[in-house]
Amino acid sequence: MISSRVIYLVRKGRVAESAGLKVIRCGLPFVRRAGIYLKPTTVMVQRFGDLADKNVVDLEPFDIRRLLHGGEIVIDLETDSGYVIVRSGRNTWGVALYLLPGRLLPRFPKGMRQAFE
Amino acid sequence: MYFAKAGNQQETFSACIHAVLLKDSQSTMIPSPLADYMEFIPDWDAYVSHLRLSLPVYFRINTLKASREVVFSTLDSEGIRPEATAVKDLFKLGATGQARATVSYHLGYIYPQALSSALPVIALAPRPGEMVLDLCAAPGGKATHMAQVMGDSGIIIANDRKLGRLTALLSNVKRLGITNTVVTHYRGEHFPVTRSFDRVLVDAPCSGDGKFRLGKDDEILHLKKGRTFLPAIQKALIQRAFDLLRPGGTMVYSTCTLNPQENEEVVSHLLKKRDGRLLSWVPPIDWEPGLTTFKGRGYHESCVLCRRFYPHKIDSVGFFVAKIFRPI
Ligand SMILES: C[S@@+](CC[C@H](N)C(=O)[O-])C[C@H]1O[C@@H](n2cnc3c(N)ncnc32)[C@H](O)[C@@H]1O
Repeated sequence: MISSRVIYLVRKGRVAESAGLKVIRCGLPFVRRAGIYLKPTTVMVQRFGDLADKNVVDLEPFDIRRLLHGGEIVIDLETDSGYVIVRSGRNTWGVALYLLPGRLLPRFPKGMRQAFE
Repeated sequence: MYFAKAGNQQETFSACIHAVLLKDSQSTMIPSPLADYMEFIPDWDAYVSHLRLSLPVYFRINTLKASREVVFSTLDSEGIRPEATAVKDLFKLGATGQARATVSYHLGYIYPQALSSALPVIALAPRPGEMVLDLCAAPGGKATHMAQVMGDSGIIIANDRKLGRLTALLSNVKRLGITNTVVTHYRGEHFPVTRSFDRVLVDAPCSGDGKFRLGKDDEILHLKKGRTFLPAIQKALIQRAFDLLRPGGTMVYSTCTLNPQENEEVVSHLLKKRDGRLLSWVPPIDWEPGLTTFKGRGYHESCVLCRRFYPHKIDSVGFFVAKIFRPI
């Protein structure tokens, strides 16, 4: 399903059976357009991010805390500027914006940042 | 212990206060509606003592987002050692636990809920690939539990009448990473009967007295005000839910009230209006059969197949669950 800025991930098969209903939302927000980039949603990467083998950055817990507090990280990744999936150990946290040459900026949702302030 | 009950010589007195006088050290009065339930609640004294304790916090683990092992090692890294319960995937956090302040919550690994809130889903037992309707779904505890039981397959239509509460439903469906759910906005009693479902859940709006606790002066805490005509709404909802079932389909009617007028009376109403059959099921925690009489009123004899859950027996919110089959 595509709305103006967000692409939703829906289950193939029975979703058509909701046709004609007053639908508020269908499926999981998957990616949204953010400026010149496509930004994978936090909820999508938390669910499916463990399957990714490109554009992933593995961080130590203290780096995650730093991002949660709004700080940026100096890091050199073998990728172009754009969104990357942030993992720590076996947890996929969300996404961050990588900008060449070597800056990683936090892009966690507000609710998550506030919870760990 | 003395029970002041309408319909006897104490009528004038009880009509005013509907109270139970407990002859204990503090000679306590238990306010209505709870006092009325003395007629059927087993171990009344234990029930009243339990009402003065705070309820423990439980949570469900979300196996869609991570394996059990990952969830537990994440909880462990936060110093949380949950206690297992008799209900699959449900754990006790403790009396003062703050589930929402954990990393596990924000990663969508856990859903804080009452232990008894899992029972309607266990009774309904939706299967992978099915088409399921949750008529009163917000904030989504049971809808997200069903998505998990169904392996995020098939389709769940999660409906609620209140837009404000739909926000919480949308956010929980997202947080738990669910893809099979479509959120709709109807008054349940007017949900269009243009399609039929394999299973329907009516977790009805209710007076919520299964959640009640007593405060310092034995006043009722968490009392909801301004709830009128609940049985009328509940009867309309259960009837529409039945009409939305395919022949051979199963539905569950549940509430978190112990009030027979919102429970067995609503189920009896459906059985009078439609050819539904109550089904027996075996809950994983302590339960009592449904009632066939209350305050001199009789209910459908098969209401014994309904299941009642009392707070002091299960150390969680009081609940009522009826499982109903639509014959082919
Ligand atoms: C007990 S709560 C449901 C809890 C939910 N099933 C869960 O597990 O998180 C009852 C819900 O019914 C909704 N409701 C009240 N009247 C309704 C109606 N006529 N049709 C549909 N939903 C209604 C309320 O907004 C409320 O969200």
